[in-house]
Amino acid sequence: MAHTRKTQYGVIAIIGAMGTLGGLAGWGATGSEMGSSTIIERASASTAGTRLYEIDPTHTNVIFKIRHSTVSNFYGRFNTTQGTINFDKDNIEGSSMEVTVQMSSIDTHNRVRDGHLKGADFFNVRQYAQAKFVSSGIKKKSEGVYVVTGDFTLQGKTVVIEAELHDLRTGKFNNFDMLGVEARFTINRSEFGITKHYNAADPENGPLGDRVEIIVGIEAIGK
Amino acid sequence: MMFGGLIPGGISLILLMAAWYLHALRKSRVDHLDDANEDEHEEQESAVAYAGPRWLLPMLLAGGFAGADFAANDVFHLWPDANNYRFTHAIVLIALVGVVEGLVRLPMLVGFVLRVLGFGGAFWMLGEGYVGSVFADSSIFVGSAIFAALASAIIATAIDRQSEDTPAWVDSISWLIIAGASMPIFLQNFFSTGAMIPAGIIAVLVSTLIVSLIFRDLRLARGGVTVLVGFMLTMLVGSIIQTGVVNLPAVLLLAASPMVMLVKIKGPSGVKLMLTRLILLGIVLGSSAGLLQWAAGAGGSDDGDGDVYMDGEYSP
Repeated sequence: MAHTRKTQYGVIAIIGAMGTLGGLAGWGATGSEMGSSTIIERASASTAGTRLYEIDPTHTNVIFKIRHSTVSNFYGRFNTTQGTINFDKDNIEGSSMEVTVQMSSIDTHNRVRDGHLKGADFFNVRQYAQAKFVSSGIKKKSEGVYVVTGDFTLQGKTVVIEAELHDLRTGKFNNFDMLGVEARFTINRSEFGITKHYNAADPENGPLGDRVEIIVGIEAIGK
Repeated sequence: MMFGGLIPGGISLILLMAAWYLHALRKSRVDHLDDANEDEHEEQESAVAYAGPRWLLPMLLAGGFAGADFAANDVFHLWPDANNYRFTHAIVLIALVGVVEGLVRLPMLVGFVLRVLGFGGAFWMLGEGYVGSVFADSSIFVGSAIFAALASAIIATAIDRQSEDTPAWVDSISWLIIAGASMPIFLQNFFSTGAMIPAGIIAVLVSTLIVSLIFRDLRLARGGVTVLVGFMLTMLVGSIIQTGVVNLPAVLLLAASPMVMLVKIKGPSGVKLMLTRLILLGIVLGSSAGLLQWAAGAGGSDDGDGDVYMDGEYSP
């Protein structure tokens, strides 16, 4: 079973992306070493079928934002993300993705705080090492924006979430098929049982807020 | 910190006062009857054998623990999957054992077995989710649970027997020092819930200390000691297994500190015993604090505020 993990502040992330092949063949044929385009632009030129992409951990970012001390926004990130995206350029709704974040990779630019966040008070990473997102459907919301629905598991609890996909691009880089996408979604950490420094009477005005905004910037490489 | 301090402390003071007052009243009535009628000998023996409402303290300690846990997390989960939210569940199980001890004078072996079951159950509640990570497999987890249960039960049994002959105010002060010292030690090891829960224990112990100065029959034995050892066990599981300590020697010294209760001195002086314990606890817990400070000074102070680009650590 995929160990999903918890987050106290919330957290995490994932998502997936898509890409297009559309036009990828063309890029290759021209010998272009670098390039990108929106999915919409390239879909018509692509060939049929799905394409498997693997998330590049070194160029993928998971960033979260949470209210702190009732007044400020605090940002942190997770540095290790893995996963795959099955992207169908001709039928984007038929695409799927699975993304896993290693909770121990949390980075708030303070090692003492990171140690605290990894412990039993917050993410309890020894019991729940990962957070995971598994998509169940993708719909087009507007021009260039898609909505992916799926199961997001954190701290052992699975909640169905929706994430908006923006900046969906594909292209070639060093002869690799590349896919990039940015996913944005929000969770309430209390839904996942992460209630340290949580004010039940006024969730957004406790020591730590309840709502966690998450951005996942994904770069994936075609396999 | 109402739930983890004032409320459990206040309730404990009132209930302990009332319960031990009634006990003292009953005892004096029996003594009076004995003077009037020697035929009441059987009733007198029964009253003397009754050691007072010992069953109350385990419940109050568990209540203080639970209140502080609630204050730390703001919610109570009936049965959470996450083991780090099961501290109250674990202490309630242990408190049940303490209540039985207080209600019934159990043979030592029976009491020991009950404690093993209570501590083992608490360890299971707090540790079963860590099979595959902290514990490589279930056999190692079971072995660790057996060790924790047996070790805790042995310590609790030994301290309990010692506490039967020790004024409760001496024991209360000793446990107050241990609980108080545990807070910064757990905090320095990234276990802030463990740094808050002792507040609930401290609140109840302060009330116990006050009441024990009035009612000299009050003892921590037969219930109280079991919960206090259970309190240490749950916090150590939270720190060592769930969170992962930064400074293990410092935490192990804290874990060893209750053994100070086993030191005996000649004579009945509670003051001398207290002074002896203060010195020993000062050495043990002071060493723990010193280890933390020393480790911090020897490199633990790196808080990650440095710029990785400036430090040359960045590798694209």
